[in-house]
Amino acid sequence: MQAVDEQALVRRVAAGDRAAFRLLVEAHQRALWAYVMRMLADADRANDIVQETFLRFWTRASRYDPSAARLSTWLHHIAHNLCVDSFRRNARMSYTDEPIEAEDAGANPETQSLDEQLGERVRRAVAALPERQRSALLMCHYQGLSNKEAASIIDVSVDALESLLARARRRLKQELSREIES
Amino acid sequence: MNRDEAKALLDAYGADAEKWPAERRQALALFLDGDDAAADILKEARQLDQVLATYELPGVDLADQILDALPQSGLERLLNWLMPVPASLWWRPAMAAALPLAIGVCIGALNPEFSAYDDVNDWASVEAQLLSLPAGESAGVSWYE
Repeated sequence: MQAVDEQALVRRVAAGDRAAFRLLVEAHQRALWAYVMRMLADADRANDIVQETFLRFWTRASRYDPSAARLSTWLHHIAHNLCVDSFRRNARMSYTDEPIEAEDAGANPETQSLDEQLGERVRRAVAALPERQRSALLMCHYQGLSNKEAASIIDVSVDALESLLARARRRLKQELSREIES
Repeated sequence: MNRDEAKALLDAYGADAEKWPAERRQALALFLDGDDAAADILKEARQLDQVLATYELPGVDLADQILDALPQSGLERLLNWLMPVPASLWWRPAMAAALPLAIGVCIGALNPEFSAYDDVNDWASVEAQLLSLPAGESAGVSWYE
């Protein structure tokens, strides 16, 4: 979607136009859901957070400033903050650099193809990253955000973001060394 | 750019040039072209990128769910109160079309200026007045002539 079209749609959303809102939801929902899903590794919570992200967009569309950020970045910022809130509410998780245990999504290796098994191992390795490293990696590697956009969302400097990215990739390289060699 | 800087960038951003910082992309590409030892660093980064690419997710469509969760306007709340969602959808337009009639009846019932009893009372008073007059006086002629 062209940025100019998108700005016009956002103005219509600010005026209460549901058709324009639907177009923007359809354009951005998949990317946002992928980010939240990879952050939380929980489909139900991911659905809730994506829904809440768009509801906040609906009520705050008039505050969006296209000169300050792309709409995609703004939506990622809202979704990221909701993920952090979710971590804070969840007693066994915290938004720190400490690693967490990867959740088992119940995948059955016997019914998976080799690609799916590899994808599952990568999922576990990514889920085991500390949250800030995971946020940085997901935004820059999977979501296509620039380093400045990602740094702004995580609220760190670009240098600090690069440090988070390097640590995340180093850790993944260790965790997935067998997969990389094969 | 030197090898340490190139390695730091590849360690952070991987081998895909599109993910490198825009302002350092050209310098890094030039350095990698002219440095054979950097090829190993680039290869390592590319191998990790290829493995990370296998982590795919299915598509989702939450649009209807999200639209349904939007806060409703006053008119929508009124319509939903008048015509609850479990009702059959086909007769909702008919109910909506009948809404102006219902509103008109309500206005008419509540506003004494539009009361039908006024006309009835007027006719009754005119009739009583006519009956009370002597014959022929009402229209200047006698009705029984």
